[in-house]
Amino acid sequence: MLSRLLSLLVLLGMILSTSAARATTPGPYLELAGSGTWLADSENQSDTGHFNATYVGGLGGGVALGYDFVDLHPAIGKGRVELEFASRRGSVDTLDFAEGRLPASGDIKITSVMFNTIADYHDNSRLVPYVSFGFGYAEVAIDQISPMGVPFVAASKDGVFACQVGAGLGVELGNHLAVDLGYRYFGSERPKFKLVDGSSFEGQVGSHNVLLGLRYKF
Amino acid sequence: MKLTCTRLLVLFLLLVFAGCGGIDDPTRSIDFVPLRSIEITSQNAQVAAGTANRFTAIGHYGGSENYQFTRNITSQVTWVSSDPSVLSFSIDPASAGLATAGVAGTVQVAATMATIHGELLFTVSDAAITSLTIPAPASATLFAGLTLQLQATGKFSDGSSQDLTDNVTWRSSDATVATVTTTVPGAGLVKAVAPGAANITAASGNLSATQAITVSAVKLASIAVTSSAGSSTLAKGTTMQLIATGTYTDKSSNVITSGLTWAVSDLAIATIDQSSGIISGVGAGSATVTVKQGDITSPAFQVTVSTATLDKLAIAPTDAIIAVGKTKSLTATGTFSDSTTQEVTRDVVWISGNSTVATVSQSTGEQGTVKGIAAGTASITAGSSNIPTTRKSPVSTSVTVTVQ
Repeated sequence: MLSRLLSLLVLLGMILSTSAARATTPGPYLELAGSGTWLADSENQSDTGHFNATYVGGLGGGVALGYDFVDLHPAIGKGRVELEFASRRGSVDTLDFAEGRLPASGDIKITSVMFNTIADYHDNSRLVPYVSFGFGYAEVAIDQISPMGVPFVAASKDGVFACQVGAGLGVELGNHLAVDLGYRYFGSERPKFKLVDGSSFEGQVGSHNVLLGLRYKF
Repeated sequence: MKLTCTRLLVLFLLLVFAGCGGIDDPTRSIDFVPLRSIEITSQNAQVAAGTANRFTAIGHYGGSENYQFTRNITSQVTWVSSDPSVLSFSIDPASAGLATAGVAGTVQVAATMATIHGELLFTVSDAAITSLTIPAPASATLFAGLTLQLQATGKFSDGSSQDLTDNVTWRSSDATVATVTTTVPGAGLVKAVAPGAANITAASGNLSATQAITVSAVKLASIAVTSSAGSSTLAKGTTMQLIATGTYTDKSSNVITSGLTWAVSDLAIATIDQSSGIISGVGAGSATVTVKQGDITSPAFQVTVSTATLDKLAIAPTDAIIAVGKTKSLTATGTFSDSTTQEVTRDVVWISGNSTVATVSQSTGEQGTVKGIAAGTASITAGSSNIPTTRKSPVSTSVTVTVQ
């Protein structure tokens, strides 16, 4: 077992240390990524005051179609643009009211389509740090939430404007393939949901996402 | 212009931190948990015709999984007497639950909210009042600016006694020395105005009772702030009772509970309730608290709000025995991550596992008060609410109370 692990590490080191040509030509790419999502505590505004929610993290994933400009426009810099389709999940852990905190449950799913711009920082290394910014549209859907078994939030969904910022590290494995390890903070305008009594409230969406992806450049 | 790596990194960090702001404490009540039943309590077991009585409606709320709590809903229910000639309720919203006894008889008092209904059988006697007294207060000497609640007690021809504080006519012989509240609610509250002597009289028909009040010429010399817990440190998310003690020109001292103005130097660290002097830890750090009465201000009292998180809770006593209809106060003590302990009775959520045996109050000033409803045992749970904890689930503990 140990010898196999050592062999794999040696092989990975050889790949990363080779002086084989990096990707230097502009072109389209496809990226598939999986992510871990942690939803930030939210302050939810209803007709009779606001209640807060805490969450348990979940998993997500996405696919992006983009174009790598590389050095095509040196006046702007080295970068990429992409259209990203992603989904991220979490679940409610507790709801806080004026009298105190109640355990609660119910899933939240955020599905988004985002236009991202990414600034890559190339040098002669295979490691390519980047920062990114994106904006687009997200649909936020929630299950019925029943604190202590009493229905409170009705299953509902809303579409909102969203934006995200990120940073990460690309590891180029050759001319076409790169591994992407990144962080993204995703936020949106306040979605509107329904309570079981028919009234509505404004939620709050913010999530921290760590993603691991594989990018193939054509 | 090419953006440098450093500038974009700074922009990224700013955008991330902009999305990581704090959230305010919740303001919405747990109003979606259904009302299960209404319990009616009465100021007196029975009253004489021609007097008044105050009723209180306690709402018992409950969801599934044994989450139950009580709330005073006296002003939210509709009060009805089965015979208004015997007992009739005030229609003034400020006097919700106040009823006047007309003629002798027995009535069904009902309190209704939506489809939930509570009832109490109540008797109006035809006993006649034979004497009226004002029970002597612990001290009839007041310092200017302080208040004293007097009570009027009537004895009746059937041997019963009744609190008639709201039913008599109150008067002060010298309002420049001391005044007395004559309106309900709050009747019988004496306020010391200036040095001198005054007689406070309660009258009902041909009967009257008098209490002499002396307003001392002694002046307030200084005020000091102390903590009831003996410590000036509280954990974030908890509360602490501050006490204002006045020292007078004759070297005497007295705890002052009214006519005070509290001030906190940094409301981002702590806030204080003006009427009770209870301070709440909001954010980590130190702040100073002062209290003022008239033109006398206390020295600054430093309060420290710690970032200690709650590790566990304990309730005392652990084996309470309560008689049916009686109450007993439980206290909750938290042990925190810095190894300190702090009473957190006001700060936790109290839950009864069996409200048909015992209820536990969540009302302000009565948190943790258990009332025996019927013989049996009930589990009483205290759970962390807004007290920060590093544990994934709220911290809680339970004790069993026995009702006999």
